[in-house]
Amino acid sequence: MLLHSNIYFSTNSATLLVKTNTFSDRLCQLRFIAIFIPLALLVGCVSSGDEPADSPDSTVAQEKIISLNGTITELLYSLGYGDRIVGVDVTSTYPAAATDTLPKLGHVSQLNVEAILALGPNKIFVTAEDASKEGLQKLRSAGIEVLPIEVVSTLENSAEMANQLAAHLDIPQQQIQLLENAMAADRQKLESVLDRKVANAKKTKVLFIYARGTGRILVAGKSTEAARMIELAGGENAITTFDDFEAITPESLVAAAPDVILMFSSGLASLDGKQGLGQVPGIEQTPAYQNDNVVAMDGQYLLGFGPRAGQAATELAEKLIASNK
Amino acid sequence: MITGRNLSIIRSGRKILNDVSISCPPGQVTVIMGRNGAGKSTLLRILAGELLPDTGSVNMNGSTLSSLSSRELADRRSVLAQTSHLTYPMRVREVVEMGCYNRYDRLKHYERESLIESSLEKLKLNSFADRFFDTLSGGEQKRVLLSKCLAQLHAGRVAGKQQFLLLDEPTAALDVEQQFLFLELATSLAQREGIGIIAVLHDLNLAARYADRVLLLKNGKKQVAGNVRQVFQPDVLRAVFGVACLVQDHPHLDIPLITTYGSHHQSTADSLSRA
Amino acid sequence: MSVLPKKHTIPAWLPLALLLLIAAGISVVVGAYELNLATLIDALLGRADRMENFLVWQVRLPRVVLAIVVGGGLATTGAAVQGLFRNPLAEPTFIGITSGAMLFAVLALVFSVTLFSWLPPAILQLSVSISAFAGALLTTWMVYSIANRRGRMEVTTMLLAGIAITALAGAFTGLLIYKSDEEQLRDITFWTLGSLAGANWLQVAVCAPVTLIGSYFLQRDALALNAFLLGEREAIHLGFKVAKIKRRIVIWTALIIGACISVTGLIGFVGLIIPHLIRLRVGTDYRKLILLSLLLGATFLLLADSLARTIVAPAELPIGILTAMVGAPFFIWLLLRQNRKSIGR
Repeated sequence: MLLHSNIYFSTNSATLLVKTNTFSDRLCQLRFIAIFIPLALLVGCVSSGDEPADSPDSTVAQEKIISLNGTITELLYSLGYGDRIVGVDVTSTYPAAATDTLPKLGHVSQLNVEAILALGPNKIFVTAEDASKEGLQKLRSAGIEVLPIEVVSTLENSAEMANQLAAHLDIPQQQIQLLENAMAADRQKLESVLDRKVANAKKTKVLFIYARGTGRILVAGKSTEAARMIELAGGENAITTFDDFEAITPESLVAAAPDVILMFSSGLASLDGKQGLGQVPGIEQTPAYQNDNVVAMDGQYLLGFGPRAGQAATELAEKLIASNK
Repeated sequence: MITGRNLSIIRSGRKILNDVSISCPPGQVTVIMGRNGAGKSTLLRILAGELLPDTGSVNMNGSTLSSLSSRELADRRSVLAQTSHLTYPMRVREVVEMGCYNRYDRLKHYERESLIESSLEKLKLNSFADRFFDTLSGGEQKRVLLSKCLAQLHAGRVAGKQQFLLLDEPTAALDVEQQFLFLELATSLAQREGIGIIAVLHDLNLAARYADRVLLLKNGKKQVAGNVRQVFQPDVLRAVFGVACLVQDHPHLDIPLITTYGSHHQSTADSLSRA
Repeated sequence: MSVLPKKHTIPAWLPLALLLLIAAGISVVVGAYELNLATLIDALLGRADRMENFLVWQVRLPRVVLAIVVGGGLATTGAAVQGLFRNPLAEPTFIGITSGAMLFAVLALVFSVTLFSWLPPAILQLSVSISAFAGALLTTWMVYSIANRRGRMEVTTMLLAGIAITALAGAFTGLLIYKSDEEQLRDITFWTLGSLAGANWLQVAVCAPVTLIGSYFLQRDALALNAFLLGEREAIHLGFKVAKIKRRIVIWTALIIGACISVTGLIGFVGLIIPHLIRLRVGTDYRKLILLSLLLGATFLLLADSLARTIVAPAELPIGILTAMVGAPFFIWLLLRQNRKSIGR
């Protein structure tokens, strides 16, 4: 099972349930949209009018892209294609300054086909596993290219994705090269951090807790992206008995005995921070909680496996090492 | 004529009705009486074709009830149920109109309308026509339901076919005057139109006043059947109802007048003390 | 003697039919994609550009028609079931339809991707609908056969059986939800909130005949449904083959509801509220109630869906949220009003 950026999270809101995706949120979005659709269109017009010299050829200038995945969005921005994006899904939260201004199209499972058509895109990028969603079929029939991009949880994922994108977009090879270089540098940095660790020290046991309020608290099994990221950062997934996410139980917590608890910042916020986390039965007894080793990181950053994956892994690795002292 | 032969109903090993035979001629009032749980209502339900007897059969004008379709049955008999209440508010007119449902397709709209009007008229209900059924008193509701029954029989009338009206404890919710008025009305209508009436009654004097024939049930078995004078004997009534009573001649009418004055045990005590 | 005035009566369905037409007109005109009237007419005639033709014919129209069909179906069956159970709170949920559809939809949502990934995507998408439909019929059949003893269907037993089966199906659904991952959970949530976003002509082609034919047959049983209001025994006395009629009502309800919610997911409150509204304004008579519920239900869902697809555009609001947000307060108001009325009497 893959969890990656399908998780329904957004930048600013702490409560992330579909159900509790509150009406005021929607209203906020509505206001955003009301303001920013014309703005975005204006910007679109202006940019296509003012900067033809920047683009490799004029057809690219007319490109209107919709991204229905946070990692794809992030990557498009880092490849300099952000200004071609006319709409993003709810998981697209980075770069916040840019994505906040774009029309938010909700979730890929619940698309407003008409509204998407109104944005006039010619290319829609989705993850390979979302590619068969209902609304996308209709967009295909409308003559829009719906392009599936494979997202995998490796540090080099974004380079591979960039190559896939290059098949559909006129991305200059040098851009991809830049990306690859940056990632190689990140990996080196990660490795140098990992080298700092004492050679035969025990690996830090990290438990990833996924929370959407106290109603739904899951821990990550050994085949999740969370486990991948923990291993990349030189830790060890505290759960070894199951693959997927499972509901938390006090026994499983005690048995896992994690040294570090890792969470999304939004997830920790949904439990009302560390105090709230302590209220979850069994948490208080874990070494991680007792030693105050609770690490919270942004969801898209930590598990998006986008261009910042190396940085995220490095940051996590540093935090794991720090927790050992 | 409705004739039931050797009717039995067995429920969880108990004979609720045990080998009862009954015949109800048209144009007459047949009254079924007995203590609570004696099987009166069960018998009425069998005669109405609503319940199939475990043994025996019911015959209506030469055809067995089970051979008649629901619609044919509804043409020939109508039933005034013991209790009826509406789930949602309906107007009196709409309730009476239900009497026409069985013949709905075969009656033209104006025919239905005039049938409703005349049925309301017969029970002096015209001024109630547009009131809601559930705002009426118990007695008024009974009259509306009787009016519905009459509409049903009228709609289903075919020359040469007998019709029956079955009344299950029709006087239950009525005050004393209403009881007389109601039965007066029902029996006179029946006699005028040749309809056979089968009624379950509790009140001995009401039965004496309006019944042509009486059938007494005890523990599911027929105790006695015959005309009022044959049936209303002190020892019979004591055996069936467990009450001590006096049976006298009514001073003004040619009917027996029954005065109950105690339970069966009471009467034994009385006779002992007299001795 | 007061007789209802007959001369000036407009047939009760006429204003509602007009209302539905107006609502349909509005629904075709409004949308996230702005079309002026001229373009819209061109598109309707297939003379606009390719995108606009597509938008009107493949996105907007199927959705409008589906809203009419589903809204009508939900309200009609709601009216019928309320009559069958003689219970103003009855909904098709009562005979296990919804819980069965839900369980099987969730089954499909959780397992279809893993078990049937070899199927072509077009069929894979249908799997949820087909599964939900099968589930609706299966649980209804179960409830019905529990209640159907010796050829007599006991409505009370059916009610209890419906509650039991609903609880059972709910437990299995809960288990699946418990085991589901985030993506599946989200799909399940969306399904339970209902949406017409996926409307296409195939769905219309399946739902419309079932709903229309079913409503026609329910309408044909209007007299029996009236008689049921006085009780089943009364209906028997009046000449109705009660057992057969009950079976017919259950079957058509299951087919209509099964077909509708299998393509839209759960949409609450329409079946509960619309018949009540009609009863309040026009009366209980099922000869009018069925048809009028159909019209008003269609209008209501049509307007709700127009809101669902525009209010948070370019995103999409699950329609179940809207129907409940409008429906629940309205229902409470109705209850309070009714209470006051009965106290005042």
